[in-house]
Amino acid sequence: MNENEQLILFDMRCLQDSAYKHRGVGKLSENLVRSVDRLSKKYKISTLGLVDPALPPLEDSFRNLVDEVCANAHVGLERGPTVFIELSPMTHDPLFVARVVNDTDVLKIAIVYDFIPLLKPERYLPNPSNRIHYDTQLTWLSRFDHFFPISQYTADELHRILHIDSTRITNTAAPVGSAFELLRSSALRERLPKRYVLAPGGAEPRKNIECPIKAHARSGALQDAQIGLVVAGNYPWDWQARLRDLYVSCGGQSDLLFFTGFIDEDDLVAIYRGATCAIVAAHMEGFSIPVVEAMAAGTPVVASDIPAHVELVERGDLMFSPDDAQEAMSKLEMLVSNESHRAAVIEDQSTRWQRFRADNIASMFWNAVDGLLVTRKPGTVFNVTRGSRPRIAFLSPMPPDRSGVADYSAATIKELGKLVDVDVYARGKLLEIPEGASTANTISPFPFVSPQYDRVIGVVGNSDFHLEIFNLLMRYGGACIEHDNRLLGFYRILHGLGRTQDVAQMELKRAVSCHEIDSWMSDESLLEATFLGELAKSCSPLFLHSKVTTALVNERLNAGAIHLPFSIYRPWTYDPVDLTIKNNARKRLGMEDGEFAIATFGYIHSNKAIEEIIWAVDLLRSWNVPAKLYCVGGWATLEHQLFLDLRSRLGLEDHIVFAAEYTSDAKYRDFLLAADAGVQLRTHFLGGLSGGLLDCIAAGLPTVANDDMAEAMDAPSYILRVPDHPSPVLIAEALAEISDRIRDRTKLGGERLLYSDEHSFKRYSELLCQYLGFDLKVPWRSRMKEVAA
Amino acid sequence: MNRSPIFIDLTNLVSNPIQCGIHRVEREIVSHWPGTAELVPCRFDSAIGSFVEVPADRLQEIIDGISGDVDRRRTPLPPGKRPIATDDLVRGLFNPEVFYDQLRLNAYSNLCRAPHSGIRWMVYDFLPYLRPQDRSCRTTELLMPYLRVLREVPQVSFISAAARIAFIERVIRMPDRAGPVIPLGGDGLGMPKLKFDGGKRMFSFVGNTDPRQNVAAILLAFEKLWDDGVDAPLTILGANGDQAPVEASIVERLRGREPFNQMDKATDGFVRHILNESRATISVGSAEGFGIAAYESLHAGVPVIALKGIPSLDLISPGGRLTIDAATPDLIANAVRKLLDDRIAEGLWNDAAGLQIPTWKGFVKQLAKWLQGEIGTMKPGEHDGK
Repeated sequence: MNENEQLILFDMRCLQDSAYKHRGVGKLSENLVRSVDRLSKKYKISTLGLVDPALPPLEDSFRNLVDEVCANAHVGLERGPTVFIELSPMTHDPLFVARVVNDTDVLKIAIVYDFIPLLKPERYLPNPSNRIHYDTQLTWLSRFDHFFPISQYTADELHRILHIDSTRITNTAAPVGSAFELLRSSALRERLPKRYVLAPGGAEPRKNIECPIKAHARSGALQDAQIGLVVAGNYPWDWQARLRDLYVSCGGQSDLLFFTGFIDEDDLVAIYRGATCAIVAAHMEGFSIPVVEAMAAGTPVVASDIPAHVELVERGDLMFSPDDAQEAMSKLEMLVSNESHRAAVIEDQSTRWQRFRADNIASMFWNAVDGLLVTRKPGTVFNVTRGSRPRIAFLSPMPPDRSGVADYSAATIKELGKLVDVDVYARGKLLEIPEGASTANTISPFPFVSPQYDRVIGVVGNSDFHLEIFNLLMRYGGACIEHDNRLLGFYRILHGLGRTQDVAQMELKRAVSCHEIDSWMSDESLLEATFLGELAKSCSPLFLHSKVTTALVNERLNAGAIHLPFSIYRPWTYDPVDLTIKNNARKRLGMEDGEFAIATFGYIHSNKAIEEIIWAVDLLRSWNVPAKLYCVGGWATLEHQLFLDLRSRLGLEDHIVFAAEYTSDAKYRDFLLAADAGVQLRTHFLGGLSGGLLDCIAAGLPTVANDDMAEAMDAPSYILRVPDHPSPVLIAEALAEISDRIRDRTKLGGERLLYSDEHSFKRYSELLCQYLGFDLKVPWRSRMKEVAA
Repeated sequence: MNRSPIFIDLTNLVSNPIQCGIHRVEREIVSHWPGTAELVPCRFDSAIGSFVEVPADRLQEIIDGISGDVDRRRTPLPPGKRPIATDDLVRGLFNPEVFYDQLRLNAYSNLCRAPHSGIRWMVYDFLPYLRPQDRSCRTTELLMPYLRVLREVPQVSFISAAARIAFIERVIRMPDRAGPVIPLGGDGLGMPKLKFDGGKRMFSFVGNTDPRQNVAAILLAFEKLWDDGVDAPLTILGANGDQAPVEASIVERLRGREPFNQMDKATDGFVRHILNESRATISVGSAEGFGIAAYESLHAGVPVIALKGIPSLDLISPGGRLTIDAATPDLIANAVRKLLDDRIAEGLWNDAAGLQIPTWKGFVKQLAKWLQGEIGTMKPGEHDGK
């Protein structure tokens, strides 16, 4: 983007929320978003709407107002000049947009409606939790650069409450709907009395509808003249009944009181136009749309003397105390009985509302924004933009969590820390700071909203270790390193059947039944979906370790996932293909001379085709290959009796060894050194990776692997591929080929070294930084020097 | 020479007779048996865990039921009267079927382990083991016990050289157990040799639109030819396969085009009709166990566009076919264009007319010799096809 390009970011949550989207907040918001192209004369603009997936989806009419929508506020460094318009800062969770609000490179603008809860805390902020929440919202509001209050009164309150300087305030207002400028018929109007007073209200005590009720009921002139009272607003039946009782008790004739219930804008305009006069008696408002609407409809209006009304009406003779029904009554009687007074008021009010036309408001708003852009000096919150080392928040399970992902993250941070500053966020309090990291913290939303991080990376996998990180990524976005080729168990167990179905359907673009989900759960070889759609949508970028899965996700979900090759996390400090080392390891493990030792690494589970491998050993022995299989890894499930039974049925007790318990690292490495061949298979595909296969590759151990896995890992030539549907014959055939042809792995050294180099954590960290947008050639200042400076 | 009766295990045929390749082979054996030794049909009775004889009239009834109008195939078989003596079975039990029933396999295993066992099996192919990607995942528990017993069988014959090579070099690796290749008959349709007629421009494919048959490549080749204005109608004689969404979508696309025709039912009568109308047939499946369609086409004198390596075609001398190295739309289209040249086509028709294709009678005669111990192991290609 060059300086003439501008990204305009709108928080559109108020347009998702039925409590706001068709009311004053929604009308103003829609008007501003719709008119954003007024900036196009000067800038090349693109627009992005932030939407909350937890709220109802945006209606198409709102969605079409912006170029794109995004499910979180994570906007990358590459975005260029950005303006953020918070359309309704006090109505939804401020943390959702906190990362943008904290970004001093962004021009942040807030529309401010009112601070009514502070005026009546006993009603709107009844408990400490409400008050803390409101104070939090006020704190976040104070961080905006410029404010557009909807009235002078709200501007004054903004200054009073948050001490906002007047140079940071430009008034705006809610627009009068275009329907007020057109004349349409209304069936509702036909049902109302010939002459009536209109009292626009709303099912809110602060609207003070009781005042017009009393004033009208007590007015002998109005009652005698049979002038009705029409109350607009969606009052529930019980509330209407109470108001009727009040009306009658004050002397009103019950047949003169009408409630419109919910009405559309055309009917609203018609009943405004048909009214003899209007009365607005609210106790508190930031701005009064009814007052302006009445003026726009050519209906004289009297209003309570609250500040928001005073600045609109500007005539004491048309105002009354909201607590004085008698005064209100006299103002009404004056308008009704004195035709010349009424005509004068209409004349006076006929021009006051013009500045609230939608066009005018839009022009004033975007002209003001343009002015702010001209004078703006962007800040330099990001470390990289001020020449410091990039700082990354890295959220992941970490040791002592016993998971492969935790070990992998620890190894990543060790190298990544050499390139950038890494703050680790782990599931619990870590006893010591991991090697390579600057700090160790507990997982929270903080890194997602803090301006101190150039990037936030969350690590996700197919287990409950990752739930909290997943939820944070869903909420706030950020970069994600996703370890698994599928998240079936993660969704089904932790998110329930409904969401699991939704995610699968989104990916496969077809209906997916509960039965199908169940069948996938019981046999992952049937699995069709990766369940990575939500992550692909929320995270930028989404890193995947498998080439195959990356291609699949990008194709199916039209995503931009990045392949970051899986790193070797059991590297060798000595040459693992050395024959003496191999022989010593064989002795330590008690392997016999001449025995063709086959090892398979990792938990022993049916989805690793253990049955097929056992059958392959049976075949090999029938071919006079002295094969012996070592399953190096504990039992994954209770189904292991099946494997024991099969071994026994085939008479292979002496030729297949199951390590029933967790194998120490030293012993595990001994098997990698001592074996003649490896075999690593998966019966679920979609680009699944295997730490075991990576260990075999790193150790230069010729290994049989299925096509999908070998392809996903860019396996070198000493990994012999077999079809994904496991066939013992083909597995045995490949193992026999290793036995005949490439058992001597000393000859594989060159390829092994090349692969190890390309799949080192050093290379991984460099690529990660590159994809995150950090130029590693820049000589950044270290944080220590910066602190000293 | 073996004078004892030879028992033939027809368990699947008699319990669930259908129109499939193996049952066809069994019917031909029973119908054409010329041996000096008596051929005694039997079946494995799982209730008693042993083999029992199948009454001749009952067997005939089943065979008639397959080809006749009256469906009497499903009538339950009566329980076996008494088990056939183990010694008799050991002397000469022949299994021409592929089965995975563990009890029956165990019975064979025991018979094979008897001293001087004369158990003999016929093997068709090893596709489920060598091309697992064509089948559903996780079939090991079903399929492997068959192989385990196969490696105990003292003598095995094969219907193709490809199957024999796979047995010796890949799957069982016991060359001494490998018997002869006994090619199936190509005359099952009972057609005379057809003559070249330059007016015939139709090409045909006989079989279901299974991805292994590379039907998508055939369809795309013809679509390209038609787009180029080439007059070459195509008829597919077979239904759309369940697991062939790609093929189904192309078929749907082509359905409205005049030169394209598809008939779901590939009965012998339809096949005869199609061969009569065809300029050539196309057989480019990459996972053929035998390839009977190409074989029968050549027997009828109709040339074939064939993919290299179809086992049945490797059994007969060259000629009568245009062989392509890969089943790609371009190569198939090129072969079709060549065959539209009358001079080339006529040459291929003449070659096909001169080919000696094994007959069913010859197959059974050869089989009988092997079962009676008159011939032993044969090298691939050494067979009596007459």
